[in-house]
Formats: sequence, C-alpha cells, structure tokens
Amino acid sequence: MLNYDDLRDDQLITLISNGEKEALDVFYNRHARSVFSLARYMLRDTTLAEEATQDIFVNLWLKASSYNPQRGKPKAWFMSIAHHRIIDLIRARKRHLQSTNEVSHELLDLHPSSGPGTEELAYRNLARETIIKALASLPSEQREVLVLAYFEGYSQSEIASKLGQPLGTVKTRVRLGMQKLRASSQNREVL
Amino acid sequence: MDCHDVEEHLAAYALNALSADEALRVESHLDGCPFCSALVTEHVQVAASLAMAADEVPLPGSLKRATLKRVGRHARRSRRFSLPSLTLGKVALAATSSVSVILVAALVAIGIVNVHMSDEIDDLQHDNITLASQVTQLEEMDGRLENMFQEQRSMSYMMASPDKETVPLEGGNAQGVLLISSEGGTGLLMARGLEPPRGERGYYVWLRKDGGEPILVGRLSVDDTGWGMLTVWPKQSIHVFQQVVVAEPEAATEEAPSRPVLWGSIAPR
Repeated sequence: MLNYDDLRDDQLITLISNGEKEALDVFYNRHARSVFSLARYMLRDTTLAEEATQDIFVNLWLKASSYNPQRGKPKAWFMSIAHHRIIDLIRARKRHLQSTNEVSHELLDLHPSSGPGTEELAYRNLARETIIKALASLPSEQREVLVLAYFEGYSQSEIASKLGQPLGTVKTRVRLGMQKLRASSQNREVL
Repeated sequence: MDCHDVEEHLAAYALNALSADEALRVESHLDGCPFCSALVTEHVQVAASLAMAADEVPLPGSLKRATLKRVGRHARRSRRFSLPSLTLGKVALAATSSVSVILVAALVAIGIVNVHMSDEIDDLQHDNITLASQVTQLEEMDGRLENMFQEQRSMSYMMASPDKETVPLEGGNAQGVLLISSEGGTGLLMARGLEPPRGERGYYVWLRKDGGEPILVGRLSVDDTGWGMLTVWPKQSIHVFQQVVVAEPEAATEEAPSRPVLWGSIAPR
C-alpha cells in the first residue's frame, strides 16, 4: 500500500494533479504552516490568512498539473503560488489595510519559533535564521525595497513613489538585493 | 522584450513587483526562452526563501478541515463536470445492442443536461441578483420619466392654450421666454444662450414684486449648448409679480439679485 508520507513533494504534486486527496492531505501537513505564517504576516489578519490559505490549497488542487520540475523546486513553486494569491488579496484590500494598520515589517530581530524541538521545527528555525541573516546583511536601501515588494505587495513603481526615489533607482536596488540574496543562498539551501 | 530586457525584470518578476502588463511581457518571453526560464527559476527560489522570514505562527485547528472541505467541493464539481465523457467511454464498450446504444445516448444526454442545468442554476442565481439591482434602477428611472412626462404634458397644454401669457426674457447674449398659464398658477421658463454656470447648482429663478423681496421659485439647469427649461409652481399666482429674474446663486442671496443673466417684466392682469 502506498505510504504518502514517504513521497517527495514533486511526487505528491503529480498525485494531486490526478485528483488524489490523500496526497493533498500530506502536502498540507508539510507546507500549510509556512503558507499560513506568510499569509498571517503579510495580511496581518488571522481570518484573512485562513481564507488565503484555503484559496491557495484550492489553487494547488486545480493547478497541480501546471507544475514543471524544470521551473524550480516544488516548494518554491508552491510558495510562489501562495505569494501571488496573498499579493492579490493585499492589492485588493490595500487601501483599507493602509488606512487602518500602517505597520512596517521589521525582519531583523530574530525570534526563533518556540515549541517542541522536532527535527522539522529545527529545520524551519534554521531556514528562517538563514534568510533573516541574509536580509540583514544587505544595505538598508536594498533591504527596504525587497521588504516593500515581497511582504507589503508594492510594485516597483509604487515603491518609487512611496520612497520618493526614481523608478530606475528602485529597479537597481531590487536587482542588486536579489543578486546578493541569491549569492548568499547558494551555500545554504533554504527551501 | 529581448533576453537583456527580461533579465532586468526577472528579480522584480519573482517578487511579484511588476505591473500586470510587464509581468505578461516577461511571461510571454519566458515561454519561448530556456535561458531566461533557467534564470527565473533561481530568482523564484530566492523569492520563495523570503517567505521563511515570516514569523512562524501555529495553524488554527479548524483550518485543515475547512481547507479540505473546500477542495472536496471543487473535486465533486470536477467529477460532475467530467461525468458525461467518462460515462460515454465506459458504457460504450459494453454497448452491444442498439438498445444499449440508446441507453448510452440517454445517459450521456442526462449527464450533459445535468451539467448544463447546474451551470444554469449558478448563472441564474447570479442573474437574479443582477436583475434585482436593475429593477431597482429601472423603478427609479421610471419615477423620473413619469415626472418628466407630467411636466411635458403640462407644458404642452400651456403652450397650446390661447390664453397663455408670454413674457420675453432678455440678457446679454441669452434670450428666453416665460409662459404663464391663464390662471397664473404655472409658469414655463425656457432659455438659450446662457453660459454654463460657475457652480454646480445652476441658475436660480426669482419672481419679484415692485418694492418687495424676491421669491425663489426654482433652479434652472443648463446643458452644454446653453439651453435650459424650468416649470415653476409658485404658491401665489405669477400674475401678482412684476418681474422674473434668472441669476447665479451667489448674486441671488441679495435682496435684489445684483447680477441677473436674464430678466423680464410681467404685465399686470
């Protein structure tokens, strides 16, 4: 009998695309917390984050067949889908969120997750520590544009307008910041 | 976009920080370019790793059940939509007689009808909401049209009456007329050549007795061509007034409108 827990993410995605709910169940167990945490962090609202998480797994169910292993690792692909959906929600509710809760994200203070010291949690903590350190090592102006783009859902044009900087400057900062993150992640695999 | 242009955009693309138009152009290029596709994979990997920086929060206990339930609804819908073709494929193999063929056809037809009906119910529910909104709008429009019709009717009646009084109105470049019904209860003011008013309130129309305070009797809206029309029903007969004045609201706050754009003298009866 097939043990879904033993399957890799890409194998689960293939089974999900064939309509196997058990595969989705296992995929949920592996990745729902990352998705929900990202949604909660970006939307700053638990109810919205729950809705977003549901939407994202429905999207996975409907679009699993579009996964192409040559386009990247399964989790990166899935988190990209998740981020897309959350950004859509942010942009749809941006005016309301901005007027009611103008909170900037501060990523430099590392607060490792507490709880049982399972291997999975330890791995997550390590991954989180790694990316936060990589972000912290960026020049502040590059870190700022990446945070505004990724976590706040601003487009490059909106960032330029918000910061009062030329669009070309913002584009350069985004590009350089991502290059540096890529360079620092080459030695440490986060996903 | 060529490879060089796309490469400039890949980091922002992976962060979802491009405009919809830019993102479409990048995707269009990626579909046919293995080199840029490989590059974007790296960027997507980096962008996705940023997600790990978010504060870890525990999953709500009910979320998994709610999520799988929603997926289940989609799964049932998918099965329902695929029923006709599956049924056709499986049953056709077993169909060896004409009766079977008829049964297969009937099943397929029922399946198709079922799918269409389900679609139509969803569509009808949506249409129902839209129609309810349109009915409300139509009812409002109907009320306005009814008012306009009544106005047009009384105007026609007045213009056709040989007993009506005609008061010519004059101003700078504007001209007009005030038609007064025989009993003096209704007046129809028509004007042309008026400048668009400075404010949104249009022009005010006043009736004035000699030595008395002017009485505001209505607001005259003017279209782009400088034409406007107003029906007035003052409490007193129009014949007790000696003058009709059309002025902008600012000027009309005075005891006597100081900057009228149209005026006319009402002959006593």
